[in-house]
Amino acid sequence: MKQKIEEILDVLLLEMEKGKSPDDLLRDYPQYADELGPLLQLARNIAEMPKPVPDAKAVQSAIRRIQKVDVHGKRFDLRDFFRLSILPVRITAVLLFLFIFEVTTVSLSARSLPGHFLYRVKRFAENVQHTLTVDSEGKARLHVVFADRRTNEFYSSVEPGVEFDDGLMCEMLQEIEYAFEHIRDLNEEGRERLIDLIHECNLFQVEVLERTKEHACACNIEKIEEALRNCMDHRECLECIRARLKYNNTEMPAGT
Amino acid sequence: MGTNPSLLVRRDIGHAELADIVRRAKEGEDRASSDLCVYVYAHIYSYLYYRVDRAEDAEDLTSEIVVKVIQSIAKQRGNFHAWIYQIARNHLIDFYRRRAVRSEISLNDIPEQASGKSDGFSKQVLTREKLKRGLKHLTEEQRQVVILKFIEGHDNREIASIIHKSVGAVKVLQFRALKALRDYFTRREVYEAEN
Repeated sequence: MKQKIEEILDVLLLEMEKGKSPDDLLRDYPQYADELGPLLQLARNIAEMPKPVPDAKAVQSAIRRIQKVDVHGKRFDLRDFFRLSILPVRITAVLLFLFIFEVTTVSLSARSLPGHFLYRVKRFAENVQHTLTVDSEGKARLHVVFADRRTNEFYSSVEPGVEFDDGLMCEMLQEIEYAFEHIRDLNEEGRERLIDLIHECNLFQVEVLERTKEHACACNIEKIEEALRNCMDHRECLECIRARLKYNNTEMPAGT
Repeated sequence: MGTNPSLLVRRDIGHAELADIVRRAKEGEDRASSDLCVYVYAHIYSYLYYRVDRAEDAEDLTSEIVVKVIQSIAKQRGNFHAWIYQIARNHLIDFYRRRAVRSEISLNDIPEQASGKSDGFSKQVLTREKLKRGLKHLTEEQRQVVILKFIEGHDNREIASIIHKSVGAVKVLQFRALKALRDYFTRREVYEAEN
């Protein structure tokens, strides 16, 4: 394969650097001698020319300027902070960063709706919160809060006249039923507090369902009515529990 | 911060030694910063010497560039030479821009410095001033290749990384640059012989 003249020049320049003369080198390439000979000579002349040497005073003056920069010019650099070799400082910094990141993400995800990329974070945070809550009243309260959130999400995601996915609607009712499951583990005071909470949520759910029903498409009417019947069942349950609590209180002898 | 006089004369240090000086300078070691200052000064000065008309301008610019290099050494990543030459090039562009604004002429109109009496290329003596004039007739990339390769002594790979070209492109630029310089000097020789 024919070698390009640029490649040949480069090879010859490398050889010349090792001490060979242009004439010796061009013996292997006689056909290029006329063209490359003057170029090699010129390259050699340039390379052998005395290098421009800076004035020593100018160099010293630059060094003095750098000394001033070192003393007065150092600024706080975040990267210097992370370069600290103390392990606890690094660990604390990383933990702090993770904490801030988590708090920020969870806060941002609080208003997210199904389909949004932060919605998974929101549900994950709820699962973590539920797992970390150990007492029954806490868990029951959380289910009421979740029911409230699902109801809000349902109301925000429904478009008038458009068929909706009833998954959220089922979940909002389901959360109330989970709350009911914890009631039996509570004492009377706890039950009273929880009944009030569930009652408020139940009223909210009924209102949302009725408003949705007004603009819902025909295919969803039946589902909404079914959900409203469930809400009424929940309300009856609440009334029963409340009546029983009232009965127990009136049956108790005074002073006990 | 002390000075290291040996570096003032010993300009070419190995890659490993340079990497070590750069690392220590990044860690804030005064001696390393001072050594690096001398090293960068020598390299940038000869790079700029052929690109500005007056040696004093080259010195002033080099001082500013060296201070900038040392100030931002902690942020340096990748090829050190590519980095310092990039800073130098940017600084040089600013210098020409300021000068052009001051004298209200465009960058292309910057006159070639009066050459004074011709040294006579026919004597085959290449002086720095002659080379400087010849380099003005090359393209920016050709000029950079000539300075970096034959004056600064960098190899093709390093030059490629400094000017952001392939090694093949550097070889082509090197050939064309030498050819253009040779043509310029030949024309000048003929012109001077005729006059």
